[in-house]
Amino acid sequence: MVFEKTLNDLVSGIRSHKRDTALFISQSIAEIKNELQSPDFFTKSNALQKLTFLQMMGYTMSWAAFAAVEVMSSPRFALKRVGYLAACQGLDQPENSPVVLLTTNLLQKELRGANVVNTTTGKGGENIYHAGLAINCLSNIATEDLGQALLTELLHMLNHPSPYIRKKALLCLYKVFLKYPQGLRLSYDKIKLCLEDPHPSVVSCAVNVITELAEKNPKNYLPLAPAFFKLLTSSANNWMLIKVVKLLGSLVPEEPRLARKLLEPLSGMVKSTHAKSLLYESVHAITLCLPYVKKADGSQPANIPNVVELCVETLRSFVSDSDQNLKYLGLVGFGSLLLSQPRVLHSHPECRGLILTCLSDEDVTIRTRALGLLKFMATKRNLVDLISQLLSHVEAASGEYRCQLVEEIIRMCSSNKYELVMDFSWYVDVLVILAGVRGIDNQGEMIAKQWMDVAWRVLPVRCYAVRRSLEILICRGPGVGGNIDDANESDRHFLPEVLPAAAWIVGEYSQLIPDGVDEEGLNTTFDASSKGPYHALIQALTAPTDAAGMNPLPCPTQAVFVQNAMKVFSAACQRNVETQNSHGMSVEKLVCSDEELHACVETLMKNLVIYAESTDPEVKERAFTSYQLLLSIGFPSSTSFATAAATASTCRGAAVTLTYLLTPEPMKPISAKAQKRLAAEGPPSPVSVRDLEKGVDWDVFWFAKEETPWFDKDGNVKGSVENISFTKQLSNSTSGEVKKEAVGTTEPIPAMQPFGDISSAVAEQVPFGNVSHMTSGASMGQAPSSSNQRVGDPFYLNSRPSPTNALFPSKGTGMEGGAVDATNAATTRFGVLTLDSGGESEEDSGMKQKKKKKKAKKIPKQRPGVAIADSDDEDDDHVPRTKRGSIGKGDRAKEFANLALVDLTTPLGEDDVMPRNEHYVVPDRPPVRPDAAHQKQKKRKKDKEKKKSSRKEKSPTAAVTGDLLGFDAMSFGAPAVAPAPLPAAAAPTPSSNPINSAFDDLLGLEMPPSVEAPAVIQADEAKARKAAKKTSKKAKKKSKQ
Amino acid sequence: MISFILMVNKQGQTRLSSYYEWMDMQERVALESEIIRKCLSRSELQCSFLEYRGFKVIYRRYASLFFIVGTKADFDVRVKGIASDSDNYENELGMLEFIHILVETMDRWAGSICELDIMYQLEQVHFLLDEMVMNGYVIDTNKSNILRSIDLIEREGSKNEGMFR
Repeated sequence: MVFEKTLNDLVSGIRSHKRDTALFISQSIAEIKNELQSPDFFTKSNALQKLTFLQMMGYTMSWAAFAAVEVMSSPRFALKRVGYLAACQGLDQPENSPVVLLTTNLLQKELRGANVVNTTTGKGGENIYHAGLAINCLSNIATEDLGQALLTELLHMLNHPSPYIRKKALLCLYKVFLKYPQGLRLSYDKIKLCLEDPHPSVVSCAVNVITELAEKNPKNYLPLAPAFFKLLTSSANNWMLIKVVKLLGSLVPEEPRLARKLLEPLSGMVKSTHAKSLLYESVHAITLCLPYVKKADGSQPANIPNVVELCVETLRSFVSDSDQNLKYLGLVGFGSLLLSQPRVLHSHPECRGLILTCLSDEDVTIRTRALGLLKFMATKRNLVDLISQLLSHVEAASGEYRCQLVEEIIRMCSSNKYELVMDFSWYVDVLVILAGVRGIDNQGEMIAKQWMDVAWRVLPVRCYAVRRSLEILICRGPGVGGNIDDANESDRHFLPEVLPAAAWIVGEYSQLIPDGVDEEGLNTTFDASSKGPYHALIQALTAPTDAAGMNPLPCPTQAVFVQNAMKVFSAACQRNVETQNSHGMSVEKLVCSDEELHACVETLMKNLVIYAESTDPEVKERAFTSYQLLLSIGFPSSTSFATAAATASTCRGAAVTLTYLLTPEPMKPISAKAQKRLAAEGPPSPVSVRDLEKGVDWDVFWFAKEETPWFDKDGNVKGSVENISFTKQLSNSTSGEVKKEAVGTTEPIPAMQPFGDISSAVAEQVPFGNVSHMTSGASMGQAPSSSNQRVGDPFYLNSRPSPTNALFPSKGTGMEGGAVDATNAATTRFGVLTLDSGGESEEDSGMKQKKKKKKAKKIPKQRPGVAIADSDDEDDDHVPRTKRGSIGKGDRAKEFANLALVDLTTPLGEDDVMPRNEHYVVPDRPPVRPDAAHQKQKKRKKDKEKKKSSRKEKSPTAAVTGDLLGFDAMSFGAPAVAPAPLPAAAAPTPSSNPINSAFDDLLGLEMPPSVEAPAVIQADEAKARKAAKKTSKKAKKKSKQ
Repeated sequence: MISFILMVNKQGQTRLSSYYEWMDMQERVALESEIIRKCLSRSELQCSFLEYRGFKVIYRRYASLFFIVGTKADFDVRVKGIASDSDNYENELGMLEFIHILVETMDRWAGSICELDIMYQLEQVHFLLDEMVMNGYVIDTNKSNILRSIDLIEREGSKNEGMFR
């Protein structure tokens, strides 16, 4: 005989195999697999025990689930326990685990077992521990089906003489309700009764459960408030009081009157209790009550200031305590107090100091909590002070906490549209400092956004923001030439997200650059060869790597840089700036010297080519466009031969063009609403072409007057527009032709209007629909065929099958009528499409409405007051439920939501009946057991019962027969006819000891017949009868009608 | 409610774990190692509460063993009126007290409890724990009540001993 390793051997083995633990464990698992095959329960349970240990170490054991269930069914307690433990610890998620269903009968038997011993022998035997195990296990593996099957048993156990069982069953019920919310309505009365249990620990558990339930849907439990209020004032059990206080706290939002009532006893408790935990809980509950204490006429009760004072005092003593735990709780308490009394800290300056000292606590949990309180302390006056303190903390902080600090600083400053910030240049400075902080990568975007926001919202600070942006961009590292003080600048670091923001500000407000530079002496040399601020900036913006020449910038940043370099360049090209000199005379002054401009052009021409080779499409596109623009203005690809003056004059000549093209209307901060309105009014493009036409000086496009492959010298398009087809795959050149057309002609062209009202020459540009329909001449003849070809092609808008086309015969006439009609056709086509889809959607919505109506009809039909989670329950509540879709992983929230939907305020409807399980007896199965006759007898009896019950209440459930799962539905009939009222009825006959036949049960093959007799709770019986009578009466009425 | 209870030694090895909320294995391992790492990095002077991944972790150290209780953290749900996917949290000090009772109970059961006791008698410790906590809620804090059942088991265990060996 092979001796297996025991758990102890395994543990010592793991300890002695320090080097190759994994190998040892995999060997052990292999052994365990073998051992689990053994028929011997002891071997099996030993293996399972080891496996449970390994599971704790992180090895999955869901594959042994079946073995666990087998061992669970062992008659010996010691072995059984191993099985239960394994099932609790190592099963798959219950919904996904196939073995959970197998445990139903086993658990049922165990639960019933507890009653058996107690009622027959009268003494609390060991069986209550068996049942205890089973309950414990059930609470871990509960599923909806299990809950439904075992609810009756569990409720039954609430009447068990032993408090040990009662409290366990009570707690288990909560878990069952989570999975099977309908059960709550059925058993709520029983749970309420437990609040009056003679045994305090049971009461405590009931409070636990109700607290937890009230968390989900407090409304249901308002009627219990008086009972809890009584407990609050009378109980001395701190464990329970904590829960009661919690529960009452969660009821307050539902019933504000309760808040005022609670203040008195709670503050009494604060004064009297010695237990810190209860003290804290009471204070916390008071803070929860405070938002609701207002009376109906808006006045505050007179005792509020005292209560608040008491809270502050208590919390202050917590925070100033040397015990870190109390300190933490004090801060948490302050957090919830401040939510209702935000000004409390203003009147208690000593608390402010305390909280600030917590910021430098060495415990990060405490620091984080203190940080959360700061926003309540900030005022206009102390903001600067507070932030400067925080900034000093930022330097000292590290990791996550540093990020939180930065976030908090920004949140404090930007709250309520910068309510507290008095001096925005100070805020810009703060942002620059933050942008230089290392290790806060997630906050970069936030800072960048703030920065742009401030620059474009706050006019007075714009110039300063430009200046700081210049600094960042130009001095973001040691220059390529390295003539900047290296020691000082080498550790200059800026968050990468900030760079594009800075570039955008500089570009957008490039006309402010001179002011920004003038303001103070700014070292604007980027490169040894840089000629001035503009040149330095352009150098900085077009340098393909970062200034240190180390890291290439990310592509989006490069794209922004290129664009803004051009904007800066266009600003540099401005002919002159009018400034007021000291005598009030207007003085014209060149923005930028000839040499600098020349250098700018040189740099741009040199670097844009590099960018134009970028692999990022955005960068490439922008650089290429910019480069071509410069070329078209008249710069040769190499400016080295041109004189500075010549280049400069070219630049200045092109200034208007550049400004027009590159610098649109300055961006204004408009609200989202205004933006929406704008979008609703017209085409999404902010610049309407028609408006522009008036103001456009078409001479700006002088350079476009040259002959190109597509335009002649007058800017007219070569060839005829007629052969432009949008439907055929075209070479790039022709599509380019059309695009260029708008730019290329000297007269204003209406072609770019997006829809409708289109002159004949460019009707082809209508971007919608099948354009070939509208083209005149040759293409018209082809139109029908080409459209036919595409019928059914989802890519095209009009790809609807022919019927829709047939609906609109006018299409043909439109085509014949030449170009003008063609546009009509275009509009009708467009109309067709919208109509078409509109009609469809109408139909859709119509259907939906119908559906809704159907639903609406259904709802009144629904039994009164039954709130059930899923809609499909409405109909098949009376049909035995098959296995429902399992609740997926992480659906806790859904579970809770289901539970919250349960409405306890309405009385139980007649259909709200306890689920009852009966085993389906296979009719023609060959008898396996000798006492088959006995079984048959029982079967007959059962049939009789069924008949009886059906006669009695004519419930629809009786009609359902032969159901596979044998859930013979929930009916009160059966309990009413149950022969024996006592739980003893459930006692299995000695011959069919549940333990001996446990195995058979697992497979659901056979069931001791006596178990079929339903367990009845005596107290419930009278009620059940009444209900049954009611049902039958109603049924009769119905039939009369 | 309590989501999990862990006992972990100073080397970061789990000596007992009990989850009252289903988590898959990878999650468990990741959670354990992360929490243990955090607990180990804290000094005696720091408070016994951690906030981690939506859990409020309450821990206490006894000699070389950390007792860690994870409860669902509060997000001030009720105040803000945000719906209910977070549980009611347990009173932190109450949990500290609970840990202490747990240790005292184990002490009384095994003389002076040590890491090895827990390892070699995992089964019983689990049982003891189950007597104190069920389904994430403290059900009993009375030492003699708790120990009564475990004594019973040991008695029965010794009875069976003869049967098998």
